Amino acid sequence: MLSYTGMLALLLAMLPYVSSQNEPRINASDQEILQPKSGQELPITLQCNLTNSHSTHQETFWMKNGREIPNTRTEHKHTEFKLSKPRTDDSGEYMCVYAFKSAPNANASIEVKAAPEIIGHKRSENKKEGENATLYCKSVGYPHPMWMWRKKVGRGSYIDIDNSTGRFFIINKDNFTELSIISVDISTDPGEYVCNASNIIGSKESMTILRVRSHLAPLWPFLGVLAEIIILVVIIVVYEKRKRPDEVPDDDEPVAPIKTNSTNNHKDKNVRQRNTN
Amino acid sequence: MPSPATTNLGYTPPDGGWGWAVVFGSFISIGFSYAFPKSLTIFFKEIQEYFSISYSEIAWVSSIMLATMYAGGPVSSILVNRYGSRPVVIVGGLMVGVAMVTASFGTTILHLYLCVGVIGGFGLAFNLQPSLTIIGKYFLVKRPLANGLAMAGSPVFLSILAPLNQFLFDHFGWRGSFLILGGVVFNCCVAGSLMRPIKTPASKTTDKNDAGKLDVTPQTAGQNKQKSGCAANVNQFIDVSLFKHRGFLIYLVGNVLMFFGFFAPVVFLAPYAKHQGIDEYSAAFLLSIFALVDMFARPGTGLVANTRWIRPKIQYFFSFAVTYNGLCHMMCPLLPGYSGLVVYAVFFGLAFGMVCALLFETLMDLVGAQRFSSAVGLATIIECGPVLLGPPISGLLVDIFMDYKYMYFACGMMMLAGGIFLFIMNYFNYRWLEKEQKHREVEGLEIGSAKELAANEEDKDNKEEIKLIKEEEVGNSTCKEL
Repeated sequence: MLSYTGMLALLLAMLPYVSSQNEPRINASDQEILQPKSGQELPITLQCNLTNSHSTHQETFWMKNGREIPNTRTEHKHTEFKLSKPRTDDSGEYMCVYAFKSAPNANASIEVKAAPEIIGHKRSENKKEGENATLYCKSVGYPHPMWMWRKKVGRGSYIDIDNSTGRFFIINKDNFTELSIISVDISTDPGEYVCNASNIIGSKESMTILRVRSHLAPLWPFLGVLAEIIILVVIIVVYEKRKRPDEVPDDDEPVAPIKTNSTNNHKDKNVRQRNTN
Repeated sequence: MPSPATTNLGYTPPDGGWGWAVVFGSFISIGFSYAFPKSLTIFFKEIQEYFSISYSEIAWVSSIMLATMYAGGPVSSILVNRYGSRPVVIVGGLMVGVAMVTASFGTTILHLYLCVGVIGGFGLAFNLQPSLTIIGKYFLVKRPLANGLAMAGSPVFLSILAPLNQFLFDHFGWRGSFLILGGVVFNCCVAGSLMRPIKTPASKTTDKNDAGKLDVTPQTAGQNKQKSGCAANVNQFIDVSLFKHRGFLIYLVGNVLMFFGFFAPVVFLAPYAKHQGIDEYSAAFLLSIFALVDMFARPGTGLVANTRWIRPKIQYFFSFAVTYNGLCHMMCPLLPGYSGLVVYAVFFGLAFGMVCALLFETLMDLVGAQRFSSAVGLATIIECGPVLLGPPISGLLVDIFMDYKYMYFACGMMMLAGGIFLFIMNYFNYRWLEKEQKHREVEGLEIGSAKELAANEEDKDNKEEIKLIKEEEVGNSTCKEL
């Protein structure tokens, strides 16, 4: 025979079960790990199924990383999202969201993970000594990677960046990292810098070369060009001066005969005639 | 045959020999003048970031440089009239070089405006005018060819300077590049030293000729004696009476119309291609095709213009070139896809080269080599307006209609208008010139015969005089002997 307290205890024990029966229950597929580089880009399908709902279901849609994916709204309880050729930037946190008439939304999330891929970085940075240099790397991939900067010394060995001079500043954000060097030094700073992105799936690196020019670098080509010009001008002027004494004075008989010449000739002829007489 | 105006030089131009060295010098000077402002645009992005200014503020550097280059035309002409071509070109080269070197140390954008824009612009103006003038002094028969070869400097230098500037920028940054470019521009001084002044008989025969003989001095000096007051003062420096010259006025009006639509299609070729969805490298390649065709079109046009069929009617050839240009632009929006644009680039390159090669040759043909230096100075300062306004107005058209085809139609219309105007007016001009030539010949015969008579009279008088003097002497000597 159950006592009154026993029945109360049983009811209390059943309470969570009863209340959970009124919560909407969603069956979601497991998390996926993308391997886009392996060559076998198998299509991935994310699925959600609403098995239990207490209120009238209105519609379903998908969200990625907190933003709604367009053209995914349907009224079915079973919904799918297909990634036909999944790439690294398809990775992220996906949620299937169920909207109800007079109850709050319910959702389930599926994580699509991938190793990070570096999509943006400068191949080289050329700066004059004393200027500020900025090296950066951008990545895609979920979960967001941890960033590390290293400098290459010798063949294949890396060291962490030595910030004893206090000129190096690193800013790390989710998919972005930036290494700023204040007032680059021509003796210690030039070299190959590597940014490394790693998450639990994998890691990736990319390299940027930092070159530092001295203040006087453009001076040598400038002086070279000046020397060439002075030599050419001297050659031309000397050639002209040497030609002048050999040059026959310019012919100043104009092409069109001028009437005055004929009178000149007449005079000369007359004088000669007179003299010969 | 060239029109009578051209033969009033008073001497025969060599038409060869050292003239070809002068053409090479002009090639270098003209190349720098036209290509240098355009090639500087490669540095603009970096300078814009360095000084933290907007795009329009940095674009002013190029505009100021072009504006002073055109506005400095009259100043240049005055100096050439006074001192000859060589000193002006050398000074011009020095100015641009020093301006660039100073600009490389500049700390504000104002320094760049002053150094590169104003001083650099004047320096380039001092390069452009004298180079064109001296060709007229050295060549007459082969002048169109010489002009075509010299004007080819512009596309050649642009093709060299554009990649060179990119290379300098990658290795030295904009300051180092400006320093090195300053050195490179000093080559204009080398070009100037090639421009040996030609010894005109006018300077020599003034010693020989006594008063009473025919004046062999240039036309302008003769005209100076007629005017008085401040007009004479201005005329000493620059020949303002050109504004009464019919050919010059025709040239001016036609060119002002033409220049409104001349440069804009070049500026917008790459943006139009990108607008059509073509990638950046292919769009840049279009410009390379254009420059390559232009490079060969200029001397080719000079060669064609030199033939005895075209030379007498060279003004028609120029009108044809301008009209052909206009037709190209009208057709451009109708050509589909990338291959259509390539065809357009080839035809446009040809048209552009033809017009540029003949641009100054026709002016020389109209006003004569003596007055050319003043004419070109006055022409460039008036053309300054449409040259500078053309691209921005076209840009405005593109912005308003959001479509490039209206801009091409507008440019095509302006060039067709200019070409047809030049064609019609030159037809009349040739007829009037022929009439004047016949009139002058008739007058000349009359004057000639009158002068012959007068000279014969003078001769007889002189003979009598000398006879008397000689007889006196003989008389005196015989008296002494006796």
